[in-house]
Amino acid sequence: MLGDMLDDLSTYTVGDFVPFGAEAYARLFVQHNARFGVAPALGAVAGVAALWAAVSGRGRVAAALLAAAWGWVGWAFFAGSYAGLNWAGSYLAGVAGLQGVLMAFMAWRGWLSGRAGSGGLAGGAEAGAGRGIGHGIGYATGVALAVGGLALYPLLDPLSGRPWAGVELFGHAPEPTALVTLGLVLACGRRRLIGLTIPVLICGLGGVTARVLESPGWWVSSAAAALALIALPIDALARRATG
Amino acid sequence: MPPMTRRAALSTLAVGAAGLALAPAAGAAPAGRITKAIPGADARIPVIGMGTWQTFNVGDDPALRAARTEVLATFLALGGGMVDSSPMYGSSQAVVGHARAALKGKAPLDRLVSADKIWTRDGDETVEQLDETARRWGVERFDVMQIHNLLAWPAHLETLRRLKAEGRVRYIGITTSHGRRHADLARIMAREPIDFVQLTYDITHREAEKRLLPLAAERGIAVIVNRPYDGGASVTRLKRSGAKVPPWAAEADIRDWPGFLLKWIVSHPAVTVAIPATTRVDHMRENMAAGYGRLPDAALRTRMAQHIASL
Repeated sequence: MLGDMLDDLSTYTVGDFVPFGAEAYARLFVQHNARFGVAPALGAVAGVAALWAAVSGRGRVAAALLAAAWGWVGWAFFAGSYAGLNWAGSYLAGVAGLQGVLMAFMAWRGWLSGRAGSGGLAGGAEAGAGRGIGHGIGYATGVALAVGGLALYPLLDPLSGRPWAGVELFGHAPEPTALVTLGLVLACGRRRLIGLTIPVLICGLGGVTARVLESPGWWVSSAAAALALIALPIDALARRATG
Repeated sequence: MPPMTRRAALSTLAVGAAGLALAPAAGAAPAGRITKAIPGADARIPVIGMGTWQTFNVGDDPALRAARTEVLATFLALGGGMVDSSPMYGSSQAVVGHARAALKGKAPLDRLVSADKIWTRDGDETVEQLDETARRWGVERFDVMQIHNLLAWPAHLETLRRLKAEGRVRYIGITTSHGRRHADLARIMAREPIDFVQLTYDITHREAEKRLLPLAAERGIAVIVNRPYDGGASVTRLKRSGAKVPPWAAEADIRDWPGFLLKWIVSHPAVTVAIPATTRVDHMRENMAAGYGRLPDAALRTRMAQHIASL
């Protein structure tokens, strides 16, 4: 039975899991933005506020903003808009909701400390606490990813010919939300795998979808996730060495 | 099994009152349109149908729904028959339903042969899903109802047989794609009384010729061919290559690559209908052109396959 299932699965390609075309996907974001009025703009403002809070030592505020953003993306985007094109949308809404809960938990525990502290890949003692922000490859990479998710990623599709009305913004669309989360958790988090895992998966899913749909910047979010995953152990080792 | 619903009972009565959409005299068929008989039935359908995977999944976007309505209108105006969808295809069923409603009184909807699928692991949900699918299409009955990718097929098949007896569906079938589970499908075709089978078959993917197509002919099962362009790859590759359609293909009234690929498929004696999918009216016109004129004979089919292999 399991063997048959695995044999069957082996005949699928990633394209078999993308049940819509490029045109419908682009229009989905136009419709999604139009449906919620000022929400996309509020999302962008919340993203900037989260970055500012994280780098200025207000990690709980940043984590709370990320939690709210994921909750909104799960409810409004995955369950509300995306599920109209893909039956998997309702499951992805649950995944995004779970990320919201995880970020809320990190806010409660103070694990987005606003300091470049970590005890390693899975967290642990505040080895780097007190070292201050502004040091380390994790911090630099993380801030770059967050800025990229807030300011550069949204330009990607409009500059490749998709309508500006469909711009993907933090807090309203999944991939920029994932990129900013990757950045802030990498830069300022402890027990970072808790906050990174789902955003990495979302970036991977977005990259696969964009690849199947032959979008010009299909590799961007996957590359960003890979960058975070490369920076994470390097940063953790560096902190151990200096901690 | 769940009891027959009130809605199903009403539908059965409606079927009796309205007659069957596939009756041979329904609508005025365009001259020269190629049709094939459904084995064991007094009905014929056009050899070119229409799929909806990806192409009709446009959500509730008004502009894209209007564009797909135009695609369906073109399909029907050019003599198209079978439209195939599935609950797995996102909003495709609802978009077909939207297009049907928009074309009421403006297009020959009586030509439309409705084909859809049951796609659920729960063998007790057959009727519930069929009801939901009918609601999305805006119909009360289906011409062809299939079990998608053999999913929970024993339970669904039993229910579909009952629904067929009640007149809720006219034909029942089972589907696969991408060459999956041919051995299982062959066993079902050999043992179970089904009217249609849907499978993947194209000029570069000919696995179905070994067992499934001969078995379909032997058992009197109509064959729907999905992915006739290998998901669009084959026709795109040929068009981009700059290769010209060989002049000898004109023997079968073939003038372009879509016609070449589609006529090769539907000229197989066991194949009843191919269901290419498209988002574009101009591509629909190309597809539908393959449903007219002469079909290649066995010798020409061989030559066509050899030509594609040589490119």
